[in-house]
Amino acid sequence: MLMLFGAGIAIFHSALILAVLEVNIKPGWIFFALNPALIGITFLVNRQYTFLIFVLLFVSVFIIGFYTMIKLSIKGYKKDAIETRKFNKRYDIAPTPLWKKILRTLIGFTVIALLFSSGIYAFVIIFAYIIIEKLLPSSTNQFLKLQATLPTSRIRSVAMGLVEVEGTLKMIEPVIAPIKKKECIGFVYHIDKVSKNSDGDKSYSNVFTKTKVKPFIIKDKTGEMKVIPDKLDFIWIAEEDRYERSGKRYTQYLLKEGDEVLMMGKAGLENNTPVLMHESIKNVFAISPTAKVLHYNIYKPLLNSFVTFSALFAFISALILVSPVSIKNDLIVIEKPIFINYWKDIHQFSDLIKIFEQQGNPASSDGIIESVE
Amino acid sequence: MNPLISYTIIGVLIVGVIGTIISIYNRLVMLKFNVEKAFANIDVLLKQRADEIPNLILVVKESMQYEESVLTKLTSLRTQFLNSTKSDEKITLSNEISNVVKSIFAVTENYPELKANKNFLRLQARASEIEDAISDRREFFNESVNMYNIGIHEFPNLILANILAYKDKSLLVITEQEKKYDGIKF
Repeated sequence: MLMLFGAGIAIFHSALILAVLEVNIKPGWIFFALNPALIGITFLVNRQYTFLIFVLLFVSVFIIGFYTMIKLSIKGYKKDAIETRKFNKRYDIAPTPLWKKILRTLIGFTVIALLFSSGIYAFVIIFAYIIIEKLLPSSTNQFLKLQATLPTSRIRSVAMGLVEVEGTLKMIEPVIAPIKKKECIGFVYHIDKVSKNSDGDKSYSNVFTKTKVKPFIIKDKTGEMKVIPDKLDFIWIAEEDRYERSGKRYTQYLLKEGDEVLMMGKAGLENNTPVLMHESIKNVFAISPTAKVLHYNIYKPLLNSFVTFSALFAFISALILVSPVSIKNDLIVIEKPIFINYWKDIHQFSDLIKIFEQQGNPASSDGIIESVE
Repeated sequence: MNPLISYTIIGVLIVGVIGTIISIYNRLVMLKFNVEKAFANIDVLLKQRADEIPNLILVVKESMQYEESVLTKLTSLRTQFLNSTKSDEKITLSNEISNVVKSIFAVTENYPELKANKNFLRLQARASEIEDAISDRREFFNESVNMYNIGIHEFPNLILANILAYKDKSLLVITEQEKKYDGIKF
């Protein structure tokens, strides 16, 4: 019976060692002979070790599986690194410095270790991180906020400093986009890893993002100026091409000649001529289609009003819900909500914990709970 | 009410209110400084134009001997402009300079040798460029003022604007004097 199970384990050994790890062992059916033979020989030599050998064979599947996982991850990482290097070389993009990679890895490991060691508080940390991340100004938020407070300058009379200009793009030197080799002013190229859950729903995680833009011209009816595109952010630039292959999704966003855009950045001088570049004080340098920004400016005030009134409505509803309601003489009477000053009972942190525990266990109430209820 | 819920509600309300106040304050400050910067940017161009006047006088004074009084007036206006510190006075003087410069360029038809002078043509082009830029920046200034005025009257911004004593700012309008056209006189 154990010999039969040994042959079953051989399926996993063959799959992992021969198919996945691609180790050249011949003949291909060797594990189907070796595993039962090992169990059989042990049975003949010393019967009491037979089950131990079977367990070892069984455990070896997990050890080989774990090794295969690590090896495939390293192989995948190397493959991605080669792909990235080739891409960077092809588009003359400076690779990420080694110290940055090491720092990122260290931060990653530290964060994972902290999350694992903080137990239930990990959820609080993750929640706090999401809120802080949302509150911190992103390049898109910064751009949208500034464009709402800054009038558009005409290019011929642009003043030095933070400016917003609107116009049409003109190419100086083309960039060849990775998908379909299209000529453009610049591109953002994403590679996402595709994962599927048991229901077949796809999810995507970004594994590679590169931006390449060469200097270009923006012109309006009054003049034109050169744009130096270092640190340029693409905001709402329309997706141009997308396809999926071998578990990966490839997407590109292009800046093309003739695009109508709104740009924000710093007007500076290059050879005594005004140019548009990254603005370091507000940390903004962005490009977005004019039509999309106009659309945003029309609907954003409506959305703001909706959010404000919804928040007020929710607050008033909450007040009504927590207010004591009673019926007196066929009348519904809503009384003032009772707010209790807990701080008078709290002298140290343990008092607060005690109050929370008493809330969760009414049987141990000592008066505070009664007053709450 | 559960203390955790009540403290969370109070905490969220406090953070929300403080966040909104900071956001409104920053927006108002930015609008105010945009207006000041827009005005200062017009001033830069007015100064540039004033700096070009000595070159213009140098080029035209030999050819336009009959218009010496005009050139003297232009020099005097330039000096007044450079010494002036009040914005309103600067704008009035600048408009006068603009009219005089325009009149000089308008009568060049009577001086063929001047029309052939490369330096004069360069100065004429430069003056025209600066005039266009001033016109653009005036529009930009008015747009900044408009955004500021709307900003301080919007709700709930107006509450903070009142506390900060932010007042309406005036647009740069074309004065009656500027609108008036008496033809070219020397």
